[in-house]
Amino acid sequence: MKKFLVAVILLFIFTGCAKEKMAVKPSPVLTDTAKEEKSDVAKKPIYSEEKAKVEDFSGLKALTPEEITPDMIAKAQISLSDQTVEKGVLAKMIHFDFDSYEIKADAKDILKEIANYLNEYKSLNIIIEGHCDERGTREYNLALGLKRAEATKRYLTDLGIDEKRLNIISFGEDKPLDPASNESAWAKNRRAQFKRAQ
Amino acid sequence: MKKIIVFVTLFFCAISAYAIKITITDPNIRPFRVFAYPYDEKNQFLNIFFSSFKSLPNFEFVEEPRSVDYTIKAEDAGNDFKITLSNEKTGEFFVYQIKKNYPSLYLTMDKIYEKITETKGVFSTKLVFSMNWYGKREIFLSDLLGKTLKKLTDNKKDSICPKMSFDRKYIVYTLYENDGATSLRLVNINDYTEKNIYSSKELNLAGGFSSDNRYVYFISYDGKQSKIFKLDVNIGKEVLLYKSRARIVSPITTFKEDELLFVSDEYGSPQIFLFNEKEKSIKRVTKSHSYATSPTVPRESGYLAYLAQVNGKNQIFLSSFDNNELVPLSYGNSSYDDIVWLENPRFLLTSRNDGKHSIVFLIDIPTQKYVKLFDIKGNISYLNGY
Repeated sequence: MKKFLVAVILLFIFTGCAKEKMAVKPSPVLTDTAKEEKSDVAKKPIYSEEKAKVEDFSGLKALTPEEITPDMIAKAQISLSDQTVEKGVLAKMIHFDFDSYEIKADAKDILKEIANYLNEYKSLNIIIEGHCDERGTREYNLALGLKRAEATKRYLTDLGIDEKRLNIISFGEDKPLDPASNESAWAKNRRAQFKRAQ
Repeated sequence: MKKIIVFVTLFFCAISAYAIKITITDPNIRPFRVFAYPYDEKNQFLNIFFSSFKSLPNFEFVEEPRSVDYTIKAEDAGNDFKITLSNEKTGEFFVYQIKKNYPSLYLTMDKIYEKITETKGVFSTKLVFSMNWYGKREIFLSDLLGKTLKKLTDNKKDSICPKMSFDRKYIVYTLYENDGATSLRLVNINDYTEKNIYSSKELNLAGGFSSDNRYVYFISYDGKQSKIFKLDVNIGKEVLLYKSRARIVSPITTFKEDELLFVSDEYGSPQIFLFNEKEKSIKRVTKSHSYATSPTVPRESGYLAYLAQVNGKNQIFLSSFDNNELVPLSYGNSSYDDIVWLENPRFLLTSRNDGKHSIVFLIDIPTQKYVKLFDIKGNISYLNGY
């Protein structure tokens, strides 16, 4: 009996704790509409296209928005991963563990090879792209991708490459190599890759 | 003794039921009963008009004009539509003349929504997002129902993370430059002019506008240090608000003076923090999940919604600012990309994307129902709007 009473008291405490809940106003219980609106009869809520005041911006560029149809969208959906594939050493990529930006042992050999290449071609500047798998949210993955690019850059500068020759950028999860949703695809997508700077 | 126990138990059960009833999510709220005629499905505009109202969980359209709260009569008057809304309880009626174009239609739908619910309309909401366009992401503008979709940019470089101002006049987005630098671009969506407002070698990402639309809050991250800036969009001058070695994204206003929310991995995993601009102090908000990102807040209410990882999927949660009150708004195997709280605090906007196909949903918070707004056979991302 005592146990039962304790359980009931605990239930009370629990429900008491949960009592103060979200206060966003639920849909109001239906009442009469506002009286002052009565004279609204026949008033025409005509949409007027407000002409915006162009503020004092220098370098304004006029955009020409284009109406888009479903067919146009379907045609435009080509792969987001980069079409300009680098050749030779710069085509190599390094990969990362989940939610990590630590340079792994196998990546170090690739980075040494890239450092040698950059030492050979002194006028060559590169962009290091950081990429992520699809897990997580887009904006946060952009930050993780940049952390990967930065870790890669740091490793190359430790190998003697001038940091001015190394630009970094993150595409987060936006440019997957493999669009599938499985561990093998995710492992391919968690990467840093290299491009010649233009 | 038994009677006392039964009484006590019933008493506490009643309290428990009451506690559940006063949550933000209350599916028992009666919808507004509406009788509409004539309902002509072939008429494109009238079909949009009626089917949009019908899809909202706070409206119930009935077949017979009995025991209804409102009656809506629609007439095609040549160049215009004439809609008459009658309040069956008071006898009041309102007449609306609608031009046969979408802006006019949405504006009138909002007037009618506001008349019936006495809350802000939703149909004039503008959406903005990035979408794959021949291998690069460009910025697109849409209405809530996806009927008018416009490609705003033609950068042929990746353009991401657009944010809409609260007056629906401006969009700020990030443009990737060729050399690894990024720029913040400001688009005036009334006259379609665009200008550069910030450029640097760092990753610059806008979280959103200030409540008065004068400033853009953005982060600038170089892979080592994150900085939060407040940028005056009229004079193009930025002020550093906060810097940290943590990874920070999504600085947004809480609509309270000098307060921002942002996501940071200050203590390891990403969590949402409250930042006081004057005191330069931060306070952790989310504690219930190991990965909490993408905060969004309504103008009034004191609550936030965010995405948290549950079993590898992004799920939507509503929370108080102390994270003690928590309501899940999504379940199961679906993963959601973005969330945005609309001007009417009853609704959230979210999207789902499988890489080739994207669906945009309106979430009715009280009933926790998802209303599919539109789908696109394309890869959309960074959904935002107001």
